[in-house]
Amino acid sequence: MLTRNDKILIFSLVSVASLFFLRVFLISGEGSEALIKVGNAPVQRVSLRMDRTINLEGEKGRVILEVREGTARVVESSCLQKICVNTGWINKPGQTIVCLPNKVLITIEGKKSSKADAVSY
Amino acid sequence: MQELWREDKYKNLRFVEMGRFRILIFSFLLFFICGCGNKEYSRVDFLMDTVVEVKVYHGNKAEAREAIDSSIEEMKRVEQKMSSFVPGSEVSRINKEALFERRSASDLREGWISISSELFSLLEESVRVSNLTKGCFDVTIYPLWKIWKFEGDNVEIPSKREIERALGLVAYKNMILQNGKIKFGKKGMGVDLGGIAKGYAVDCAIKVLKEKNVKSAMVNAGGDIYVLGKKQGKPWRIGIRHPRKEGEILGIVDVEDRAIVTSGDYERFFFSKGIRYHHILNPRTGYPAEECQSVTIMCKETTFADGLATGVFVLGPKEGMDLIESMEEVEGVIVDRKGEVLISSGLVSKIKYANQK
Repeated sequence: MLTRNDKILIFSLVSVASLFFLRVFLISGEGSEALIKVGNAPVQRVSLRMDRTINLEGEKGRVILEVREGTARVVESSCLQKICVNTGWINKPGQTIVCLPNKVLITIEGKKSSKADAVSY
Repeated sequence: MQELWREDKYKNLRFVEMGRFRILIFSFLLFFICGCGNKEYSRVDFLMDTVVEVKVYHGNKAEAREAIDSSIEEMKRVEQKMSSFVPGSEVSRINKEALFERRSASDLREGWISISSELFSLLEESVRVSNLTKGCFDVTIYPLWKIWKFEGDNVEIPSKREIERALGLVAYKNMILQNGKIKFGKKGMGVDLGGIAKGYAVDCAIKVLKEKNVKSAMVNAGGDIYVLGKKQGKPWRIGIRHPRKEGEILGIVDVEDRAIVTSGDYERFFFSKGIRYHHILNPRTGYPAEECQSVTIMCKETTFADGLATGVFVLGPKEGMDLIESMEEVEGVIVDRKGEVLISSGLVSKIKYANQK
């Protein structure tokens, strides 16, 4: 005994539900973006789908970020200890590269794979 | 006439059915609104020589942002006051004053330096941790810390003579706290709150968030973490870093209203002639402590957790675990020098190993 209105209601209900489903599905898509924070500047978003190198002006000099085939790394940094360079490639959501002397933080965005909200270290 | 009446009846029926659909839709909408009511807001910043993150779950965007900004400002304030690296900080002022020859005879005899009540309380708390850890945590480590130069780009270890000289000045029992004043027993003594101030800053930030009516939040200052309330109805899941495998987790604990702090030998170090020297110095020997790889403390206050993690790291796995077990509401994980993992009795059943999932 469905009228036209009922059908419209059911249709809209289903589409709203699928929208929510789609949203959850899209967000959990594996690390497709990197968030870059340099000093006190606002966070920049960089897609990992396009290969390129990015020059960042850190506190003590240049930090060069390389993006290739969905992963990212710091190729070169003006810091002394090179912890950022030695971190190597990152591509999983939640992974980070930090260069403290230059105040550069690179985080892969997406649903965290480690299942933890934060890590104590 | 009868037919018409029937139609009317059905119309009414349909109206009732429509009503049911509406209720269904409204309840769906209500469900989604409730679910999305508290959104996640966060800010990352470089503070206290590390990466600091404040995360808040809140229903109002402007209020959440304001609370986060205030809490980060609060941590900056603490850093500007408590850091011995910041030239104008109160701690730097004390360390400088302690070096000065005093002109008036009474000052020289007395040697008291007035300090703020905030610093006084933090120093008192430091002494409490020192007493518990038999001096393995010691804020008067400053003269030793100064010659190791971990804050700079050091590549050389201090000489034995330098270390012996500095060790003669390290003793929290020679630091006297009385009536809002501090006095050092020897000239050249000083304080460095590096082992406790980060935790204190986290507690201060949480206090600000609570004042701003935030009920669910996490403050993470370079792995020194406090979680306030629950995260969207569930406990927060905090991982403990594997001390030897970068990016890997030793285990996960579900927590709420708790501080979790880890001290590890992997955090800050330098190599000299192929030997690695890390930043947790033993105030007894003058060299980096070697009994543990990492120590994680869970308790109610980040300040205490921070100091205790450092103290237990120096104290060593056996005495350290005994100390943890002797205290109420304090739990811990110790990884000893061989990589063996010790877990306090209250935590054994609660910790989930990362590889068990």
